[in-house]
Amino acid sequence: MTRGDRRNLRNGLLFVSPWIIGFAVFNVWPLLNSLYYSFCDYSVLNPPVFIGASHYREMLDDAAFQKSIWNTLIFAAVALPLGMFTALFLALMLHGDFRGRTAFRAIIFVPSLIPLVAMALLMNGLFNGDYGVINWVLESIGLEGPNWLGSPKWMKPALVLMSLYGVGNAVVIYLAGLQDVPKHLYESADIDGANWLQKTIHITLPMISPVIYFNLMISCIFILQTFVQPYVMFDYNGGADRAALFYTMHLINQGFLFLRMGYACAMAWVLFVAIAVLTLAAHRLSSRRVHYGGA
Amino acid sequence: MFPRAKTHRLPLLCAVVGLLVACGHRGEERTEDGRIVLKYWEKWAGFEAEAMQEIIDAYNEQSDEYFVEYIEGGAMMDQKLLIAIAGDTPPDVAGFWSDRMVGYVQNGALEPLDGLMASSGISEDDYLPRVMDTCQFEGFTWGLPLTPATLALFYNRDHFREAGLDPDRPPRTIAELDDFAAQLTIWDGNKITRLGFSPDIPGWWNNLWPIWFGGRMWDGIDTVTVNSPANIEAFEWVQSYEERYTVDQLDVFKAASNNFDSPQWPFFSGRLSMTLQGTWMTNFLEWHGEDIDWGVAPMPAVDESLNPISFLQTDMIIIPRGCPHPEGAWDFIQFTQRQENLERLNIAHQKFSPLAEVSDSFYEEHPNPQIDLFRELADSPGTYIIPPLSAFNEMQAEMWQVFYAVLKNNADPTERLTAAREIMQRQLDRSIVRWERVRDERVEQWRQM
Repeated sequence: MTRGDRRNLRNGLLFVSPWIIGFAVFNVWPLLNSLYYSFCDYSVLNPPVFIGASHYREMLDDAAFQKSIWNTLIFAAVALPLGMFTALFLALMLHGDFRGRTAFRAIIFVPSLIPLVAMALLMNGLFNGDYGVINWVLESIGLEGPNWLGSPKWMKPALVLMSLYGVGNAVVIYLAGLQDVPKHLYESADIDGANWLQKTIHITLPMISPVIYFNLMISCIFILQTFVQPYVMFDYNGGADRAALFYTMHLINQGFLFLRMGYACAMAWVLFVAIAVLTLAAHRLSSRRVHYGGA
Repeated sequence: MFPRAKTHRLPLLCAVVGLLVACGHRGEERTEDGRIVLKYWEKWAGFEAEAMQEIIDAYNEQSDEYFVEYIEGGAMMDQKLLIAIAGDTPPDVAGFWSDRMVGYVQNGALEPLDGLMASSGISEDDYLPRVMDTCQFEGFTWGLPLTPATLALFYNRDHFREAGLDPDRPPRTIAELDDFAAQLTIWDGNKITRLGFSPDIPGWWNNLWPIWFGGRMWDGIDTVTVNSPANIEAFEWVQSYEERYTVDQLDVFKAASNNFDSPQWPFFSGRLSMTLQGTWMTNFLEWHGEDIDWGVAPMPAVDESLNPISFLQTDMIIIPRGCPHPEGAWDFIQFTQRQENLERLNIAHQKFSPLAEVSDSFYEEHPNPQIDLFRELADSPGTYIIPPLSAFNEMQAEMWQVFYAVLKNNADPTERLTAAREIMQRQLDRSIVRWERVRDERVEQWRQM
């Protein structure tokens, strides 16, 4: 390395140093601390006391912890594919050339701009089992609506339906991906006599697979951290039968309500490892299924 | 590339900024006339905050040294306070719920007030004894009460008349309550159009029903007792409502009670005849149920000899650990504790004064004609206060699940309570271990303060 290279390196590092320092102080240091706290009895208000791996062992006996994992996974298993499919379907529809396309795109996108707390409060009114609009509509067509927010059976379906209001972001990303599919591929398919479905399956989906992969990962991480909607719509305990107790709610309760930040940190690390494993697995799978045009 | 001289300044600049951030602390904020600004965090909003602001305005008018600034903590203020105390940037004064007190005290997050009280001539005897109990732990006082409240049974007198019941003779036992509820309930086929009573409304104290059966959460030392016969009887009673009215029908009314501050709340809309509610209810009756001819009575116990029983809780005002201006904080707290100020605040909140002595004008001016009943309930030996357990919130969460399992999933009360007891005992044991680790040192420290 020449003297000039060294100087450039030094200057480069100096310029990125604010970010490096910020990242180290506000991300790496708390992250490492939280790993240590996960092995401690720590209330936040007092210095931590090392207690070994008992928090991790406790998770095996903690019924609320297990329920929160089950709720989160079930919700993710339904909401994730449903949201992905809905967003993709809407994007394909909105990609077509029709009158009012821009207006429809805006209508689909606008709900995703509403803050989550406001959306949750709005949904509380819509899904109310007594005076909610949804049950009123169902009643008007002769169906008796369920008690969406009071019955343990219907709480998660209500949250899944509610999650569809936020697909606007994913739709916009899909639309951006769809714009990049080369037109000549469709023209070739037209010459071969391919119909809309064949073109979608054999051209559109492979060509936008990186975008699908991106949306899948983002949605997966977002859904595993679901917090605001159930916290606002139900009590901190997840309502009857803890049917809406999500993983992050249990974590927040432990850390801030029950003054058990050590246990909350252990839970956070379990979630971190789970997301990291899922991301790695998806990355491995993606190498065979995701097609990068420029690669 | 940048000139050498300028790039050398960059690390210097970073170091200076870093040093400033690291060494930075809140400067003392003063008003234009030189008074120290005291930060007061409080959870109240709306009319409750306005009433407190009037007290603050009166304080600010008479104080030459301090100026109190009311900061609305909003939802989850407890969590904000926790972080602020842990981060050594607490407010000077804060409003607090008594159910969180022990957890904070055991973790050394609050300042004991006994020394300050003694130096100012304020005695614990100045207060209603049970109210003061909720503000004390290990013989020390951790906060002073502002607006205490008890619970009682509100009932619609017109509904009583319609059902052929005497509106001046409310139920006195749980059996009578059930009987009256059945007479007050109106069925339309298999649907209920008016419900007499539901243990799931308002749903804020579903874990506390055992207290009207003589049940307790623990033995006062180290053992959880939630599967005692009295507790089991309470949850069998809860389950009897599912058997009588079906969970689907109860859930319709539960859904309608989602928003208390609304004319759609079933008692205000005339769809519910009796409900457990607190002292503050009369404010909401004024707003949403002006035409209702209501009555109020102690919530009946399973056995008349146990009456009257209620649940007592209070908002309290505390000085957090690391308070920047403890003298100022105490000066303000003292002011709030003056008889005229507590009475003024409690008239606005429609609660009762925590003081043992009350002026005649308090009852004359109080908009709730039954306020003396609520105050008497606070003095009743049967009245329940939150146990001094740091694991209380955790244990309470478990009791809520018992309630739901019994009412909605038809779980066997004995089995469910026995299972809950095991979980709650672990929670209690854990909290005792944590407390025992620091107890002696803490108590000694408080004695010397």
